[in-house]
Amino acid sequence: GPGDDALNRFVNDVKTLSATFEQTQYDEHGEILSQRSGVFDLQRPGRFRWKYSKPYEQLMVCDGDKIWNYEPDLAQVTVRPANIVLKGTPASLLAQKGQLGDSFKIESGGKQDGADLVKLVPKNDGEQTSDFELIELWIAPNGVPKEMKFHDALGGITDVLFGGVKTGVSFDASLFRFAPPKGTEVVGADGNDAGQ
Amino acid sequence: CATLPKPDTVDAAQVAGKWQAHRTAVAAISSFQLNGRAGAGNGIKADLRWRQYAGARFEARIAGPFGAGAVAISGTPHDVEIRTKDGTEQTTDPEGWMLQRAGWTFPIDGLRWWALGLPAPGTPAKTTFDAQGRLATLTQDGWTLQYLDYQEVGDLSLPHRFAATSAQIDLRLVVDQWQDIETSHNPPASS
Repeated sequence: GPGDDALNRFVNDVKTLSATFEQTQYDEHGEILSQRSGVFDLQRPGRFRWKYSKPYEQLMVCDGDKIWNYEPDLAQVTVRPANIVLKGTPASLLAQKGQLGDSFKIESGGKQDGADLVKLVPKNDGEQTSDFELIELWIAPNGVPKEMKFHDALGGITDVLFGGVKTGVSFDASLFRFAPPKGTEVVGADGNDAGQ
Repeated sequence: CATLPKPDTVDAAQVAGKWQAHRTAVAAISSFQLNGRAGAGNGIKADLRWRQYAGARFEARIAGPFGAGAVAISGTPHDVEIRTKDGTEQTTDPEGWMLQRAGWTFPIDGLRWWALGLPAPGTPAKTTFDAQGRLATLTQDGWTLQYLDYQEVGDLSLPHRFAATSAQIDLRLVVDQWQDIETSHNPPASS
């Protein structure tokens, strides 16, 4: 259906992407929980970088094999196998389409001012339950993501608006690698991912 | 050569005096909201909003990145209602519930005081102070708190980053924003 087609445009036609984003989180009463902004870089297959710069720094880097999550304020880096963390989370939707189908039912939300609304409904079948009620992704005709909305379990919403999107970007390979700064505790959770 | 006074030997009585003044000012806070983050030693990360009402009632909202696994805990520390994607349940042990269901926990009982940089009233506490007479370390009720730095909020000095360690968990907390701070207007006890 159109939902699938739009998603395929994003996954198949957009090999590399660089964009800024503005993220606003609302609670179930519409009250603002946080407002953050940063940069998102993607290089298929499986490499991406999600960097919050304001109001504080937080960095997620996936080199295709591992996901590094660095939070300077907590002086801590977690490193996890990419396939474990990716299942059923926003990261999977960004990097790989393959897994997407296992965790979500893909539905179409029709067209909204020129963009295709793709609704990702968590399958929640048996052992694997998603952390979200619903994820919405608006994709432009050229396959570029315009907006993402994560509907959380309490009825709150995390709204991510992309801007300044560039595709066909050549990245320096080091962008998708991460070297923990000196003095930062590296927590390598093994396979079983207890939490997030 | 003349021995110079060591710069860091701040007079103990001075510090005690500063602590009393600081404590009186902060203890006047009757309700507040904080928005912050927690990082557990096992790598779990969460965003935290804590709303403290006058008395013991609070509301905590905890979620992972993009709101993943959002949980709401509300009530008084030993009688709470927990709302998750599976519905609502009651418990008298929210710290234990978190450890078992979310894989990490935080000092729900003590946070109302400890987040402000105060020992909780009514139970023994071991304390050390920094040169400005603010809490540096606190050991109470099975937890050890280490206050790494403070931030100025109006004319109050409130914690910014602190660590909380118990037998079950090593936790680092950052308070990104203090809001809606109300102080009780009755004059401080030792006026």
